[in-house]
Amino acid sequence: MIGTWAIAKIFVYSLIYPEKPYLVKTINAGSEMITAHGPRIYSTDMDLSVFENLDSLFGYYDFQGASREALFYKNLLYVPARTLGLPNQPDLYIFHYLGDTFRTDTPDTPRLDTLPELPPLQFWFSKGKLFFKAPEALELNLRVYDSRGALVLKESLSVPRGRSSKPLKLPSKGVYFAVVEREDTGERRVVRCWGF
Amino acid sequence: MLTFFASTPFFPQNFNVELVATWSDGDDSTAAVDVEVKDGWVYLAIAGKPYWFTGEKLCALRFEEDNSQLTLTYEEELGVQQIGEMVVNGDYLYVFPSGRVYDLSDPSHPNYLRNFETGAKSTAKGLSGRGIIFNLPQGTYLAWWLFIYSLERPDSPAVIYKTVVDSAFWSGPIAFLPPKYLYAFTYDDSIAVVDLSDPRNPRLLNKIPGSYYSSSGTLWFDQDSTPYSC
Repeated sequence: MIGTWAIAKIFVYSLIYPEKPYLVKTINAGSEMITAHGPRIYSTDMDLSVFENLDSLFGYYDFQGASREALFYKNLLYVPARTLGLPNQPDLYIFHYLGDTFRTDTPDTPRLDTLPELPPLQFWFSKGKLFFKAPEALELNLRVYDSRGALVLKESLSVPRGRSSKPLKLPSKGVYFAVVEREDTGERRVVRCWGF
Repeated sequence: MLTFFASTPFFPQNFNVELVATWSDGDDSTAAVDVEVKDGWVYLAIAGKPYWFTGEKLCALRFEEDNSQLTLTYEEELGVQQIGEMVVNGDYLYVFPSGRVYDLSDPSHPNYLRNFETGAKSTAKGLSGRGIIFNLPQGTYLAWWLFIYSLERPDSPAVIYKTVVDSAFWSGPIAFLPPKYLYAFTYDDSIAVVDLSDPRNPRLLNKIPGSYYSSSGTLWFDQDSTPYSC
């Protein structure tokens, strides 16, 4: 694979035929620089975004550093930061991506180290649909927010074991966030969605 | 940018990513433009305003991962637009566009050895194992240089190929697929595929429709843990 960032998109090409790369995926991402490791893409600008499955946002850190570089080295991501004249801004950030398990810094939400041992739920958005890959039949709460934090959709879902999908009708163009929460464990996943 | 929504009340500002460490030189008028890492040592290119491609200062930092401590061990003022892209290759650090070679045998104190030939501001770099590949704007937006270096003597990179290239073919980031393919993302929305079997005679193999203006390119393998990025 090769990837490149351009105009709020990451373009991903296959190199199965190295003399004739072909486009396999575009990812909506408004960042400046990308680097990749294993199945993940790290995208940096004023923030660090981590993508997996080539379209799901699996990690995020807002560091206001305006970086044009990102170096992956032995499981850590080194990001030099071009500051914007803000006082006391670091010149270098070192990040660790925590993996697939969703973690939030909200105090009343279970932390990574207290979550029960359960197979992970996979959740992603593509072409107007929400996709699920569940280790078992699950009851989920779905909420969708617009970019200003307003709730635009709330409903309960029953997803079967394995892969399933649900069309997502969004009220208008723009960026949205879909949050699913397992009713039994409170485990959550978040993906970005785009209304067209 | 994602910033506008990150602070909304419903959305966890940061998730799944942990900040391990930060470092600042204490000067709010400077910023970092590139980083290289080698076995517990971090090398930073520090720039003054306007924080563009090239900077003025080389710093070496000891990174102790156990306690997330970063400690400055070396600092060298290089002058305006002397340090932008850097490449670490074994025990050597190459600094562009000034073309300075440092010996990293003592990683805490990079030892300047000599200069090698480069052009103006470098904007991309690549390490192929046989040579460094990078391109750079030379004077105008439309004229770009491609330099290819042999690292037969890693302490003294030697230019084995250089040419002014058409910006329609060369301009943006580059990625190298061993053992021979170079991919150059261009300003005319294409990807140039170049055969570097003979690095003294690069051959354009193909040019395919690509993305819009690209500011970064990277190359990786689904199963391989070693990325090659530019």
